[in-house]
Amino acid sequence: MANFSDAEREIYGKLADYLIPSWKDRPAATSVGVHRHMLDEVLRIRPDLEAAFQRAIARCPGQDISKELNALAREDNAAWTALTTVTTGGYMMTDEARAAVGYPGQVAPPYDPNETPEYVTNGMLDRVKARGPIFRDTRHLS
Amino acid sequence: MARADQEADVLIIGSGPSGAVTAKLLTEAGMSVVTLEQGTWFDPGDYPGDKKEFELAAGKQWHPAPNVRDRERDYPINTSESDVEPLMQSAVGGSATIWAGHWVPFLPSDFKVRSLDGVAVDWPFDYYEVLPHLEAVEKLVSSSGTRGNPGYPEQAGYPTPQIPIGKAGMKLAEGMDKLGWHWWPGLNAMPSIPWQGQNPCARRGTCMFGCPEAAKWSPDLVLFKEAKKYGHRMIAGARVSEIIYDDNLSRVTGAVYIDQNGRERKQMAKIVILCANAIGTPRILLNSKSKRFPDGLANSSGLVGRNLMMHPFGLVMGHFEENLESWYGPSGQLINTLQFYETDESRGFVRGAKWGGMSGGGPLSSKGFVGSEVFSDNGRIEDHWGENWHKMIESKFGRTALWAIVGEDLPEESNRVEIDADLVDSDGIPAPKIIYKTSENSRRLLDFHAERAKESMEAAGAKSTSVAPQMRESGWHLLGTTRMGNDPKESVLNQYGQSHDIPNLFIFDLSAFPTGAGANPTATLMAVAHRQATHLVNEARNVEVA
Repeated sequence: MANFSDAEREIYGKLADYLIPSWKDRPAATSVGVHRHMLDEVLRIRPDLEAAFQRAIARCPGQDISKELNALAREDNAAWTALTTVTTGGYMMTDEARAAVGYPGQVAPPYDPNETPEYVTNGMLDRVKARGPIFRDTRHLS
Repeated sequence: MARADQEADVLIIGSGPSGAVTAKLLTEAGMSVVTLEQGTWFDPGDYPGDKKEFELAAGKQWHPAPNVRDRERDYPINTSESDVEPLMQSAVGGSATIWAGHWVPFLPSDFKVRSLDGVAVDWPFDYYEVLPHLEAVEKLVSSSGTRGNPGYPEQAGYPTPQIPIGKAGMKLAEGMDKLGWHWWPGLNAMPSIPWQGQNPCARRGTCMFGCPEAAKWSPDLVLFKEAKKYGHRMIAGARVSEIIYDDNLSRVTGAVYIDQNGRERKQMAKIVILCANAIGTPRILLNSKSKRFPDGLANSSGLVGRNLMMHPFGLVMGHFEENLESWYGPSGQLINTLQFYETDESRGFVRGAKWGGMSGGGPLSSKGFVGSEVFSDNGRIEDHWGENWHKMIESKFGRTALWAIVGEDLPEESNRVEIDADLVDSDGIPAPKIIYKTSENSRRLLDFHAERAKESMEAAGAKSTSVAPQMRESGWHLLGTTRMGNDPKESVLNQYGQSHDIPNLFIFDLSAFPTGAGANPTATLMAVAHRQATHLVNEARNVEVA
């Protein structure tokens, strides 16, 4: 796995914050470490993204971010996809970002399989039954 | 020189749902059965669904397309001339390790499309002959659901209660209710209570990356463990290079395979049953040439590899004001509808589609609402990133329900599987190429259904909708490449999945389906395999073996 220099991480941080800035109570990309430990974590999980990601940051030095990223999106789709996947993937794995968007993760909510569902008690399912069968029978063809 | 192991009564090639049902029934009947599976065993603990990185891993290691995963156990497929990318998994349990668990039996009309609609071909048997086998396999897969769906003829109930449909399913149902359209709580191959060694569905919503709860049914969890008690032998990591045909006997006698260590071996058997999916099965047959079958085994009709069907698949998403917690599952269907399933020629196409109501998924799925492709039309990234990305997440993530539309694909001989001239797998075995074009009927079908699905979303109160018509990476259901029929010139197999050409060669996977219906096929796949295996057990003494 690549070792990114502080300068490379700083450049990527600028790009990441342009894609995901702070907004209302939601943190910016760099404030949850997208360019630090989360970059390493994402590329540990997805080493296949590394080459295209490196191409993206090499091509976008952060002088005119809007111009650089728009050009990247149009001219090197793989690099653009790697950049946005690394950024959103890293961001949404952090506890801070998940808390800010109200996402508990793929947890297992408790449920009672024997509880009568609302669509039964309010009559919705009965209305489907009352309309009767909708399939075409074929017994006459056998 | 290949090493030959002891002869078995039956050799099964492929360990997905059809192979698993077959192995269970035949071993219980006292036959010695060996299954060769190109993939290896997965441990549910390795599935990413309960880990933070699950969506990132789903983009590569757990991607459903073998061409994307590119693992040593996958075989490459040349798809340069295909509109659709085929999806599958190489593992004990086959693609059912990563299926969504949607249990949608075919309808009576699906077996009679020539008689009813004047298209394609009728099946050599009908729905009512399959029904008792369907009821049997619904118990095997520990299904959960609600009895009494007026979309189907009356049938027995399901072994475990309905899994909650959640806020997203309820929202979709409300839209259908307002329009007076058919809907029904989702029937899934996963129990809601502990059942037959499977855990209850935990509603994590990550079925399609493997079920870390060991709840969703897959062959490795249940049937192969049961079959082992009766002496079934699974050889994992065994990649079949060819089926052995004896020109003197006019019978198949086994298969040559490459084991995990790269050694060439033989497994001899009195009967060979292919269950390797509608690309893998014709690949093996076309790679198995002999003096009598220079164009591939069991191919006197010239139809091996022909009539490849892949259901046209579209998504319609509704984005709602309310928080639907739409990351919860199951990814098995929450609800479904058959409202527009049957043919109405006034719509401008024949046959129809089933819609499966599902949740919007995890946060990276929300990135899919933006996508990369939007920038190809002179848009600017700022339209979707920066503050607009936060606004998109705020308005759509957790607030999206979707209809997954599975339409019927009619068979066409020009849609086919061939052997690629150059491509090989990691063992050097020639790899397949598929040639597939989406038909005009399929395009019209998807357009019509997408419009109706949008109407239902709007009736449910969606503040906006998004449509993803005919996605390329949507070849979940592969069918038709060695089809059954009564005429040996027009089909490869008879009604029991037995080769017209070779009496001890059978095919029980989706390759055998003459038509594909407009529904997820696993329920009918397993029911038909149950029928065929039951027949084989009953007629075993009469089968002309090697």
